[in-house]
Amino acid sequence: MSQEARLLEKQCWNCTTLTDEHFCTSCERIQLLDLSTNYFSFFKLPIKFHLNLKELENKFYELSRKFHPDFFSQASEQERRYSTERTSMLNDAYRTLKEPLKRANYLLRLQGFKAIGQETKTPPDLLAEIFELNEQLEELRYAKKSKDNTLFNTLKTQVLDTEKMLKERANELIYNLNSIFSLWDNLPNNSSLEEKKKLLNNISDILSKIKYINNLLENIEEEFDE
Amino acid sequence: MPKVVGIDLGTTNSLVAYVDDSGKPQIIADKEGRRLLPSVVHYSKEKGLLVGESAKALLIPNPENTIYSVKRFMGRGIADVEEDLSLLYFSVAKGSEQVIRFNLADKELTPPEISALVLKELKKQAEDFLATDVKQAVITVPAYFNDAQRQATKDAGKLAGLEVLRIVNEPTAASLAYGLDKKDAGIIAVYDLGGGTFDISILNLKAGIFEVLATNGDTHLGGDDFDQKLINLLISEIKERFGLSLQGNAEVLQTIRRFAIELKHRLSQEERAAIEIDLGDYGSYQREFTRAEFEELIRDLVERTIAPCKQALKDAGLKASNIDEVVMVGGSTRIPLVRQRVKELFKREPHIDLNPDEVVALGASIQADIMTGHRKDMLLLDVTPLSLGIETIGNVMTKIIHRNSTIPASAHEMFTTYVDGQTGVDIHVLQGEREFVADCRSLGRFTLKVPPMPAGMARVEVKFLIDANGILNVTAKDVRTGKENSIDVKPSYGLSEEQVEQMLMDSIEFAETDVIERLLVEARNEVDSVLRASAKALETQAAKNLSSEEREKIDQAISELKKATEGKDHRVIRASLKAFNEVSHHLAELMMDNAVELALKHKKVSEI
Repeated sequence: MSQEARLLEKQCWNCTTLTDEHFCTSCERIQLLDLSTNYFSFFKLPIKFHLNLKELENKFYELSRKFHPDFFSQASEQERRYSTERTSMLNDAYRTLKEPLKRANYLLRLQGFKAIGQETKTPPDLLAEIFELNEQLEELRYAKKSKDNTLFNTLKTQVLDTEKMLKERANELIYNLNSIFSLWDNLPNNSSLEEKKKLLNNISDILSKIKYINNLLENIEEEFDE
Repeated sequence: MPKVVGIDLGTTNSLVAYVDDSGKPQIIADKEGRRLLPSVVHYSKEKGLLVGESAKALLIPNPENTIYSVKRFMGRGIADVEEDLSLLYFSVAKGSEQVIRFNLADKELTPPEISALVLKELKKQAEDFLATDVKQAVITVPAYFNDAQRQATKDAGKLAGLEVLRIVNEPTAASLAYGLDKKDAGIIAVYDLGGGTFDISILNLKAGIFEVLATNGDTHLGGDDFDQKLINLLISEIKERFGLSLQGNAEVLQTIRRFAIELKHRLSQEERAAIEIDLGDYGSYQREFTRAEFEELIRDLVERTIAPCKQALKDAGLKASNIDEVVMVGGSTRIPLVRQRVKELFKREPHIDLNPDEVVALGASIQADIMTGHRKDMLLLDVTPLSLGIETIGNVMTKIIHRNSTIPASAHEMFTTYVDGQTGVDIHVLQGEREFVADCRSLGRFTLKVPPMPAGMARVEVKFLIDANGILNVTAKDVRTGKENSIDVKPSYGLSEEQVEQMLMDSIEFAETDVIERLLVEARNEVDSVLRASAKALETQAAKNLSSEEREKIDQAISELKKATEGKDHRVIRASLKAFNEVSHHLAELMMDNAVELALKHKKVSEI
């Protein structure tokens, strides 16, 4: 039987014991990574947004100590490969799950939603603020170019005020996101598809707004970076 | 049991270290007790192949055939290094677009081959000391090295007959050696300014896990650049004062370079330093420099290290005030101005207790110890310094693995066809942070082969995996059939696998002639120093006490020695050396209280 077929049958490649763990429960050899594993199940976590970050971190360190390639340098080529693949999954999963926004996006994707990429739409309720900010930034750049310090400082105060307002807006949105996710996390198993979809649509909408604001905040920051 | 060693393959010097039976990392010195091997390689018809101190001694008399700072050229094409080349004294062969080829006598050698010669020397040094074969090694690279530079280093290891167990980042290796594991937790900044490269790494230390949070740097900034500032100043002052243009005079320029390095070292210790350069018929250039003057000269360069530090802090989501410890690595951190700026930035006194030249090699040996299963309490979790991406429509670089991701890291991308019957999809892999392809580093290109189908039907999943060495591996799978596609990535820079294999075969031939040439050169050098020392000895008062018979025998042995040296057989030379030593025994005894005796006993060319 090929290694891939063994994997489908959840058999250890070495001793054919049935196993679904990182290491064979019988011969303790590292196992081939099942690529259909999602980041939550890799950490043996339920597919929920709210999680204990401290616990996640501890688990990450514990698993790193178990299958990092540093500990397989004298093993067979096959086991070295398994170790690298498993560790890369561990790192990718940890990186995604520890950041709330990345985790939210990943959760949406797992539910068949498109990830929120760079192509965000301008949120209609923010149009006025965005328009003003862009104008301020343009003038600020002009002031910088013409070395008009008085004008620059006046505009800087204005931009920083807008920045503060945007940050507050983002915090509100994150608060909303957290509460909707609380609803999602606690949905009973028998809840309807409609109900699920409604929540997810809502989440997707909020995520896209947060992403948009974060992009704006980055633009502001760049302006003041030297 | 065979030992795995840790190697710091540096721009200026290289070192090898191992962990002894008591678990302590140790630098392995050569037979003369030298701990640093200059990363200098010489090859010429007359002298043969020389590596290290003996090659360094030829930088001035034979600059065209003596290569130094080769690390600056690893994984680069000629377009990247145009600026450096104008400053060098050796020449580059045609066809150096993807890999630079240096002209050395009748050979053309690439940077990995030159580095391999340095590695071979270290390997031999370790084998002599440990009295066992050394076949595996951990080799360090600057944290900010890109994929091609890392691959070139790995190739060099292979060419030197070493299995490279891991490519480790220099600042991270240094943190292992600093004994910081005794601290239970904390945030560490490692500031590493070497001969040619600068790195900053921010680490989170927790219960033996060294987790890199962010890294940044400049692979073209280091002590070499400080030297160049001084060299330029000296050249322009000499021109001004004596109307003497030194451009194109490699020998003199190398001499100037030596003076510049000496000045830099002295001004790092003292407030002022005077030099005198003999310009032959033109006279003598004399000048006193102050430290302040030197600092003014290099201030801009030192300042260039600050932005990467700030970026790394930002990427780690930290402020300078969050840093608990600052560790200094690399010879250039001996410069007071560098220490002062780092102290100002992090608002704390940096650690300088370990020798900045040795700490990276010591760390590499600890990593080797970890990888051979000797210690399980420490683990390094490093990151990729640069974002990985692919070219997408509009010459845009789309990032798929972001910088500062813990490695190994992977990304899966789905590709399909756009035209009916299309049989290939071209993929261009890049590294960098900028938006457009032209501003990023091209890593390589490959074509995914797909069976002819209607447009959009093919589904090929490509997995990009950056391994624990920071090197990219690409695999592809046809989603419909589940079959692995073979991929042949054509690297944009560096050597292909076939080229490395070919070099391995060629180097076997090269190696045999090398050994003989080398033995001959060594024997001749020894005769040279013995003859000089004995000429001196024979002129002393003590020599008068020799009987005429003894004196005659010595003179005869000397003339035989001279004759043997003209031949090419190193065994004949050795035999006459032995004969000479026997007859000159009494002379040596007579000289017992004389300083020249030392020269006879420790016949080291460089010291005579």
